[in-house]
Amino acid sequence: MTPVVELTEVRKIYRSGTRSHPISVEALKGVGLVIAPGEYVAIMGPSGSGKSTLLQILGLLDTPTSGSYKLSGLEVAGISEIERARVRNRKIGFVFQAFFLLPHMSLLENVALPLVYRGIGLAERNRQAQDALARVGLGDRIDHLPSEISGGQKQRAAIARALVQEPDVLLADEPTGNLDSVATDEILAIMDSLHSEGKTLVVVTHENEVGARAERIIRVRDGRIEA
Amino acid sequence: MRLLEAFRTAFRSLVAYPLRSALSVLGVMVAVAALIAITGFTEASLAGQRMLLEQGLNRFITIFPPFTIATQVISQSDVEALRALPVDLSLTAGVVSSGSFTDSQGKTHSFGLVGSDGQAAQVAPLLMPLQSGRMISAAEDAAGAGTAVLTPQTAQLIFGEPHPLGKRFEVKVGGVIVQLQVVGVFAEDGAVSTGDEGAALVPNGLIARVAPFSSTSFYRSDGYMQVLAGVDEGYDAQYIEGLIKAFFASRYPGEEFTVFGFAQFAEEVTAGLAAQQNLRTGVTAIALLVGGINVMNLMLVSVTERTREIGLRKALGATPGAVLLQFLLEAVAITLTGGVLGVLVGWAGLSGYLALFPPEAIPGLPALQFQTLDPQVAALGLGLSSGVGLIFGIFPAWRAANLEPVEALRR
Repeated sequence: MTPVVELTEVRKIYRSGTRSHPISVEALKGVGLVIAPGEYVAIMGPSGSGKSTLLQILGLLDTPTSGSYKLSGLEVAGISEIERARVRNRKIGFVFQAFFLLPHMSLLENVALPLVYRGIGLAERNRQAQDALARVGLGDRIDHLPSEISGGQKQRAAIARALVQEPDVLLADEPTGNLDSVATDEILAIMDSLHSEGKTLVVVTHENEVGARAERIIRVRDGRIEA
Repeated sequence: MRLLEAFRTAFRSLVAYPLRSALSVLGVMVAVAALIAITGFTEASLAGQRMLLEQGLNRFITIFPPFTIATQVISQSDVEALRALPVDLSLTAGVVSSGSFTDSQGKTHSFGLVGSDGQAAQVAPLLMPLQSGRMISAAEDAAGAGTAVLTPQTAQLIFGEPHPLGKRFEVKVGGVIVQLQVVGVFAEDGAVSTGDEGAALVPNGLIARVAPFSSTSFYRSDGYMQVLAGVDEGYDAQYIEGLIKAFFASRYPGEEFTVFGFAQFAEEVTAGLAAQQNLRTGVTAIALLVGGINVMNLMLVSVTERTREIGLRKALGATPGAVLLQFLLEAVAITLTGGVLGVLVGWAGLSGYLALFPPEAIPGLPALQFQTLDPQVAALGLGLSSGVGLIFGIFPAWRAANLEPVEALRR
């Protein structure tokens, strides 16, 4: 079966400073990673280890300096910005620590947002968004604004927004970092059920409790994946 | 369809930040309102002149003999020679005399008599508009009849009423008491004017009959004191004005006859219009520039504040083009809203002003016609305001489109 994610010798070097005093930081020092369809993977490591950079590259929010990245068999390391936007839209679902729901839009509109960039009409968008919200238990909150619901509900809405895309892989960046223990359990339970449905999940976390729910833990330290 | 939806989203963003959007909308609104109001105001204030021109005012030429010393008049032979000029002119000539009127308290008032050959109504109807009654006829001129058309002020002076049609009064001319019957009243005091307390238009023949060759006053009746020429259509009024000037200059060397044509007036109206358009263009351009800079500032602040939103949209699959379009349309939504409000406010303000201070109708002519809102100018206002949004919105939108999603989502 074609892996969802296949990284080979991926390096990321950040360059800054002035021309006379250049500073370059090698955040990833040749990473190789294969994630199979349906896997539930946790990426763990101390801050500054490169795990966030790794997630950004996996999510096509950033480009590797060198190396190969095949997403569902398609090489995406060197593609244009417009193509990257298209791939993010079709194949990658994001869940962020700070939720990133747009405050002036209802939950339904927030969840439907990725479909706007597919050029899908309003009625169909709303139908799919409503289904996705129902799947995370927010079917009766579709007209609420993000400010009117709890943190756990916000993160559930954010998961619905990723689900509506039917992505190849769902990338979650510290998804429970802003939540209390009750809400954390809620979110982890949803992730478990998505895993049991066969979704591919990648979670970046530094909480052992969260990492323990995954099938496989990948530890990143100093820009490298530890064996 | 996509564009329509993008526009809807843009307007929703405006509503999300109402106060800030309102201030930027206001800037553009003022500019467009100024455009609409200045255009409409000038249109209304020039409507009178324009109507006079449409009615053919520019085809009149008035001729007066030198006023300073009353030794010279326009003689009958001058008039004949003018008629013989190789152009189609219609002329009306008037002698002028003066007399006096004694009111019921025994007080004596100076009274000016302007003669008519009965052609004035045909040659220059616009210069002598009537309020009531009729003009002096050619038959009355021939008979030297005792009929008079009064100015409104004179009607009040003699009868104490505005329209004393058919009533009689007496004036003393050249030592003779003449009884006159009122056949008409002018709309304006300026229709005939001699500088006396009262003034009336009477048949030339009357003056010739009762005061022949009087040299007892400033006015003389042995020649015409006023000739009005109407230039027939198809002739250049300004050219004929020059022709008449040359005619008098060669006939009376050293004497300054006044030859005034309204063609010059027509040019002044045109020049006024051009000046108005320049003013309008200038004011609108400056106001729109200020409004545009304001919009650009707003959009730059908005892009900075909404960095996360931009990052999120990109993460969800928005292409740089989609982000560019979104922010560009937000800028256009602001300026176009300002434009629409500006058209309405400018129109309402101008209509209100004109309702309070309506331009005066011209006596003897139909009511003034003018547009308070020219659809072309309204379209120009909307087009310009949209254009300002596009021009001043492009840089902030470009910045938004080129934000790195990684930077934008950094917590």
